[in-house]
Amino acid sequence: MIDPLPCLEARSVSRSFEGVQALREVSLRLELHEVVGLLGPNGAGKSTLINLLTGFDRPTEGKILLNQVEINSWSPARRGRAGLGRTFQHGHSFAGLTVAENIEVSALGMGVKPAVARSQADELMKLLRLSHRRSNLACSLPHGEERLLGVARALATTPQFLLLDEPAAGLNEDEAQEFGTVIRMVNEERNLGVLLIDHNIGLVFDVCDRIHVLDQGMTLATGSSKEVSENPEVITSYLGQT
Amino acid sequence: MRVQERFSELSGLLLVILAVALGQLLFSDTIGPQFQLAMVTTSIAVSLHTFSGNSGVISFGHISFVAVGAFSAGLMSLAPEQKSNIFPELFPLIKDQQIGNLWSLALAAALGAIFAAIVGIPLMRLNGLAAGIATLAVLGMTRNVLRNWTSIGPGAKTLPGISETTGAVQATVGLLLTVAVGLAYQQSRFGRRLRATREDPAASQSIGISIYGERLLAFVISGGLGGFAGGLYVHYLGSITTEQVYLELTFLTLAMVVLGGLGSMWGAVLGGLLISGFSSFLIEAQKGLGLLGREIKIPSGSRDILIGILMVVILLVRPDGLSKGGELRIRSRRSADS
Repeated sequence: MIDPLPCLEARSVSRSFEGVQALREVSLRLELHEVVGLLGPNGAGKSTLINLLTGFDRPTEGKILLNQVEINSWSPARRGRAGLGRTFQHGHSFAGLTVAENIEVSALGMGVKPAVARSQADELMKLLRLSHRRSNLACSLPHGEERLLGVARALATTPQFLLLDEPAAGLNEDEAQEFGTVIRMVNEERNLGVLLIDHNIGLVFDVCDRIHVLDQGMTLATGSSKEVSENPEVITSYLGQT
Repeated sequence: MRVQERFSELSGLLLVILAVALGQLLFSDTIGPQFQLAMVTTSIAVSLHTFSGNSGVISFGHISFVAVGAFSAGLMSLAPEQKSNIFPELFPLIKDQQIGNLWSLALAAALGAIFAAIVGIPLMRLNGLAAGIATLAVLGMTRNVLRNWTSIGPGAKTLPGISETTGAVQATVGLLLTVAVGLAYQQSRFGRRLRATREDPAASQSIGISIYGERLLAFVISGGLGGFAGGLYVHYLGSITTEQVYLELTFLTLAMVVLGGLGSMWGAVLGGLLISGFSSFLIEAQKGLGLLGREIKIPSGSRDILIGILMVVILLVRPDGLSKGGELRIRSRRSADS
């Protein structure tokens, strides 16, 4: 039997909160080797979708599948160990720990030995240009660097799929561009699938192979950067207003 | 964590504990027993810190494990003839056996850990206030079982005649051992993962950490250390009732950990030594005490009020406690420069 192609999939997922429909029958598929952008105005359901994929929330209908296995009932920790890494829109760093400790504990969560965790942390700090902050408490970081720390922490779990919720917020244009290069690099070198939510449309269009646009909880368009940027509905409801 | 950092945390605590041990020897004729009591109650505070300090979940029921340790060590140290005379209803296994001092401490630790595992399996699923209240319920239940089930303990009577083996050496070695085990756990990958859940539960789950699993492990280790400290305590007191390991000790231990600074081993040790010293001084003052040529006598019952006031004042001035949640680190000049 041939191994199924590794992929993370939301199949017709819906989520409603006391009558408010946050997501309606959204399907999204993320494979290794690709970077997929998730765009949409505020309240479109982007973070809700990431929460459903990573187990922090459960769909009212539909399925979440990891490598063709339904994982709806899996806890966030189990999904983390199974290869789903994520960052959070609001940072969520371990405020009282240093930058190095934040990344190390992430590797320790996966069960590696402390010495291995330390060398992984060194490597990731170098990659995301956080080495100069190694001994600073995470709570003292500026917003931009805190988001980068979130990315380093997620990468320390050696995920198969990396879900980034506004990782470039707080970075200036040059830094965002550099960050885009890092995303592509980890995608290629580490052979992982990336789902990228960001309001920096330039970054998303630059870095992503495919883009999925949500609006009011529904899929508005999917396709390549070119297809999406030329889609009249996307221009009207999202791109036109930014 | 590098070996050097680990050692710098241990060495600071080691120095403080050895300084107290030295004080105990210098004043052995007068206030030596108070020093020993301070070390024993600090062991209890350290055992509570091992769970609450690292997880951020306050346990109001920790003294249950101390009680189980104290009564098991005390009962099993007594001679079978004594037990048959005073407590004829005891189960034969308890009544007919006697073990030595060290074995009684090992038994206390083992039973503390087993009890914590039984209680922790359902309780560690709870969070925040719910977890705190549930642990308080465990304290109440433990006390009632110990007070009424005369087949396993002395019931409402005093358990007398226990060998007073916790002197200068046992108090010092006991505290050092408790701190060493607590610190080794805290610095291990398990302790660090638990601290991550304390800092941010959602983020810790996203990196694959099971909050339940990590908390349960810490609860069991903390219960084992609590049982061990209970064994030290009963061998210091020489006799014990259920009321001595109930609400008052719960309040004192929480005061030690919170005042010292919840979240650090150094806070638990500092808070433990200071509160215990202050408490012993106030107990003497309640009886009447000559100090600098003057007679000091405070009304009985003042101790708890004054400790309460001290707690409020320190928390107002330093909300994070005396240690501010940090560890005491002794660094060599070379490592401080680097």
